[in-house]
Amino acid sequence: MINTRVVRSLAKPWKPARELERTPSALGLGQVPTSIEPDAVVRSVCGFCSTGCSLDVHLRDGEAINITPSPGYPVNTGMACPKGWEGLAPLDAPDRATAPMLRGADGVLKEVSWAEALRYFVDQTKAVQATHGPEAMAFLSTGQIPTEEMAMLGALTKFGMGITHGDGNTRQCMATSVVAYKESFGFDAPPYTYADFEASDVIVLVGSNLAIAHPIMWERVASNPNDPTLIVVDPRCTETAAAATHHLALEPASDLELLYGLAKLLIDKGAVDRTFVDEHTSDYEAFAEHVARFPVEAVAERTGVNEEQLDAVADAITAGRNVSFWWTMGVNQSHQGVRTAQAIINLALMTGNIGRPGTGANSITGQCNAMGSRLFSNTTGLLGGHDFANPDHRKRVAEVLAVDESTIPHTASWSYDRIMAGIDEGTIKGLWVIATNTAHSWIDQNGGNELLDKLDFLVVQDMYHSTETAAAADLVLPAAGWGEKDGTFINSERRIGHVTKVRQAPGQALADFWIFKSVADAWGCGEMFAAWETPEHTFALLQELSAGQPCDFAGIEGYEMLDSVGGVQWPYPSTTEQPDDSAERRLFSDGRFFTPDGRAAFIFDSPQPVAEEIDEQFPLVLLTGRGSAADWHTRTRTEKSKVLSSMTAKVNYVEVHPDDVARYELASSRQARLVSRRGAITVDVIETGTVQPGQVFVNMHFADTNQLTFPAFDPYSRQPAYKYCAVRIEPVVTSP
Amino acid sequence: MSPVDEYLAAQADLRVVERFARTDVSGRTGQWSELIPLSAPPAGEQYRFEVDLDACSGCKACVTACHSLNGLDEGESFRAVGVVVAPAEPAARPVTLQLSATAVAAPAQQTVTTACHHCADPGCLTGCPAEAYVKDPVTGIVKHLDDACIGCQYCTLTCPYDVPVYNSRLGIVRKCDMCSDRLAEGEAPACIQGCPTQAISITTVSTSPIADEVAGSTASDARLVPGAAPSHLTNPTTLYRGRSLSVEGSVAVDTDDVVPQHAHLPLVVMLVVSQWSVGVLLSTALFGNGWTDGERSVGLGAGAALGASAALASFTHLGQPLKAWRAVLGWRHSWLSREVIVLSAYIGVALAAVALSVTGLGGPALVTSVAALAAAVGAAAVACSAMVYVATGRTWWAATQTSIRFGGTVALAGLAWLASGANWLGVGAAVVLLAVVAAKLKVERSVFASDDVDLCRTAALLSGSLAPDARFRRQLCTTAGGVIVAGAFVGAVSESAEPLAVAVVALGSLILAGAELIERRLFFQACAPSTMPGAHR
Repeated sequence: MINTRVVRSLAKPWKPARELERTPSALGLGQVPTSIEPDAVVRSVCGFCSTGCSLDVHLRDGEAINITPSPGYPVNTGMACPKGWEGLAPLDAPDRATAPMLRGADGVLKEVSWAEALRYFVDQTKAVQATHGPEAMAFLSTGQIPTEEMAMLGALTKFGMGITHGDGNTRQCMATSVVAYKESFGFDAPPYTYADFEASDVIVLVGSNLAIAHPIMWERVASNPNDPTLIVVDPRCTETAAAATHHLALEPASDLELLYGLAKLLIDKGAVDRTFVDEHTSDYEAFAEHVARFPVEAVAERTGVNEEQLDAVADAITAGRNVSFWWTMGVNQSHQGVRTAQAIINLALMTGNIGRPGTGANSITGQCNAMGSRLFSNTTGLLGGHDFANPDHRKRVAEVLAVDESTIPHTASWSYDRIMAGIDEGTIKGLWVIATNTAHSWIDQNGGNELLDKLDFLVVQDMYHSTETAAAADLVLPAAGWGEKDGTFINSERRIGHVTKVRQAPGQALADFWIFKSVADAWGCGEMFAAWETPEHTFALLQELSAGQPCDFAGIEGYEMLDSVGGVQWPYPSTTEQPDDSAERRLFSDGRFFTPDGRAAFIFDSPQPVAEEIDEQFPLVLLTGRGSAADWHTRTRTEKSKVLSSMTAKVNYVEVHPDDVARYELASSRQARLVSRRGAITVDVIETGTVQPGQVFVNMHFADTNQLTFPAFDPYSRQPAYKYCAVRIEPVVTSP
Repeated sequence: MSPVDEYLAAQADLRVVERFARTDVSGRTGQWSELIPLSAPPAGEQYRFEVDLDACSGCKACVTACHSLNGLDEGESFRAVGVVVAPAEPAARPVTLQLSATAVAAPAQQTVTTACHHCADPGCLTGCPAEAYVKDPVTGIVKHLDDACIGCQYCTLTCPYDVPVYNSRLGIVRKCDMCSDRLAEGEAPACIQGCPTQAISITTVSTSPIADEVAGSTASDARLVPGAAPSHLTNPTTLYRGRSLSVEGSVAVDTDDVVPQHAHLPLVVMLVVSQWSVGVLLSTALFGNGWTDGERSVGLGAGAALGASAALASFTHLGQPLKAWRAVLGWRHSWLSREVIVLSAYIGVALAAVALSVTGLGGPALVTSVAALAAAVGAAAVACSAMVYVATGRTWWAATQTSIRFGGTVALAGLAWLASGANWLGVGAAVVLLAVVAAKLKVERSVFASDDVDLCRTAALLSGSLAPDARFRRQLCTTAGGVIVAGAFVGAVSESAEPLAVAVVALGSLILAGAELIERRLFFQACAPSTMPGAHR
């Protein structure tokens, strides 16, 4: 033993202090570790969340070696959350898919050539379509790949392969906002810019734990110089709620009543901006009549928020000069999310808080390119924010892309849940899953995974061969990840940013763009994509598709411009004589909306009961959500970084109020069984007052959480309601 | 070339990097000038971290910034973030005034970012036997000199905050130096550069009354934040500010999350074997005058050999064994240095006693004196060993516990050696041995009667995941006691059975030594003192 120690110590560097030596960077980065001093940096928009931070990827001899957040970028001003700092770590993981893998007769995935994989893919897909009809092959895509790739997938599947149905994991995060905006504003148009966080004097956050889910947007709130009144509506006392002036800790799923009650209070207090309402909105009178049914006493009773608090919040909104309203998944992932989002929009409209700095009804989306998918996934909407049902739109898209107009469907795809139901009823027999992890993230996981087993053919295209979904696949196509490809993302504030290739992809892994090109060639429709030569050529096509739309960005002069000016927010049309080059721009400053009459619509409805009420057997409400800023979704990437993993839970846990810990005879840091009608999981108990009695919180990053969730959906957006189901909790007794 | 080959070639083409490469990204370093001092601290003051807990959102970017900007190993960072949980009743969380002059209750949960506290009385520096730590006379920054570190990891025990962390690749510990090179150039430390909400800053603090200002009082229970180690141990300088600190009854979220700590097996062996050695030598020194020369030589030889083995075991604990000589440098302040010196001296004197005894040089009187000297130095070495752990300030390693454990092992070894004498003295020794075993077991179990938060965690470990080991130790003790007493008795009553009796007592002694090894492992593994709050997510 001693000898090996001595030998090892001889082999060790004699001057370990050298390892921590730093050198002043010649690039102006300040001191950097000497061992990884860069000779250049390349700017790239982060590939995790929708904030869209710019990262300076450090290069040495052309190899990406480190990351610092970009100074001066209008989004993140030199800052990043932990995921951004660790953006390169997921690329080095040993479980990267480095070659196509085909499941053999022995049930084991074996590496095959691209040629064989493509042949198999095309043969199987054509067989499924021949046997069960063209609609029997469907795809599930993502908000994690560049817009160019999304558009290519949408065009290839629908115009080239005759696939009818495809949807994305974006259904799970922002479908509700899309529908709400389309109905209220006439186009899916989040109106804000992040500068609004800094320009408000009152900030209202509904169902949004900004501090953890979007730390860099929280940075913008924290740097607001107006000492803003912060109102947070959330059942939990999150990190965000803890910093609030008013935390409305409402009963889960009572937000619609709360918002209608606030609207009534605002009317009673004379806070309505009559001029704005009269000139720029429709249906206000009916709305006012509707909310008259929500007196403060009843709302206080329903929501558990006392009347004084409701009154104080209404006073703060009334007094506010520039009030901004923001929402995230607490609203979107609800059984009545669309009407709830619209109830927030209504508050902004009625008080005239839109179109000015520091105002707006603002949806914060989830994934890095959810906003790209909203315009270019070619699933719910036709490419470029167009409508499948509109013949003019179909004609225009066919012209720009030089495709046969008859290949363009007249209706939107089925939603994610409908596709899953289609698998259940046998109408969908083949599924192509791209950069998402259905087997982990889909609601009511046990039910969902049974469905995956019913498929004749499951293809998973991913960076890793180890995801829960890849484990069920017949064919795995190895994809390059963020950092290994070019393209653009659109962030939450409509900013189109450039993503740059800084690394070689491992083995035979290809960017999704090239995989789609390969599939097109193998399918026999490669010619259709002749103009889609590279991502950059494709970007030009997308610009042309956007021309004349509210999301027009035809004026952008290539990737160079995106890189040099720090991203460009849409709209940025080429027709503008004097383009507005401000780094931060917002919509609706002229009070004109995208509806046919140019007015924003007040839309409202009666609150509906939740799909699964609590009862004696399952007396607790289960809330799910983000656990840590160091975790991303199903953790396929963040778990590959040791420093990120060191900051997150090692085992799944449930946060329980001390009263419930006592009531159910639990103990903090000990195990408990969490049981719903759909599944049961074992988790560690964390005793904390951040949750209310009668509610428990489980993070969404662990694979077993969705065994519990109830498959309820918003009727308009078909977004799953992850935020409410009934569970019970039992101690796990372990004998020492 | 097939299309796929073309695409693979396009995939491999990295020319885009050149197209967008930048060689001027200045603008980063100026952003934080308000968060760091513009000049070195004046005389009588030092730098410190100041953390605004109300601004800390729990994003943990400071942890990754430290990792990335300092070029640390995979998973390594000099910062960590923990969580403190307030009592649930809102009444316990007083409403205080925030900057906005609006009444805001303290949060139910608070994240706490932590790094080295650059203590006024750094435990790492005091404990280090190799002089691998310095406290900068101007800035007060506690720096670790990586090249001087021998990898003994004693500082990981003397730092109450788990700040120095052993890096097995390098065989040394590393820790935060407040990015002193950056500060010297007017640049902010990495964690400050990483914090989106400017919650961390560097300020100065007067060095003399640090304990008063930092912890609010010099009371023995003052802590940086709820759930942290008591500040009186090392006088940490970090200043935490925030609403949540005024909440009574807050606890670290991981208070009850007890996991067995590092076992430090080479140290376990070193301690038990060195103490066994001293016990054997002590009994030989005390009673050896009545033995044959051969018996005395065996006793002295066994003692010396065990002592040398212990030293060898301690050697294997070092990450940098070739730098082991540095271990004596810290003798002025480090109990570990003192242990190394006195233990070496003990081995030397014991070997001398063996040599004299075997060769007969100088006569029996000299052997007796040198053996007595060896025993005395050995006892001093055991005392130093005990002080190594007592000095950490850990409740579970307090003087009574540690000295009874260590001294107990010496006594057991000596008594077991005597028990092999095949005479009535041996029987007496065996009986006393039983009493010592019982006393030791009783002292070890006293932890279950304590309501001290640290000792409760130890008790939870000993009755939880470590319970099987603790039970096995008790069984070994009982077995060993029975075997030794039986062997000693047989040896005393039957001359013909003497070889058998000696063998039986030797077997019992081995079992007993095994029990002591387990005891010592539990001594390390069950020691889970408050450090800084951990996190569950």
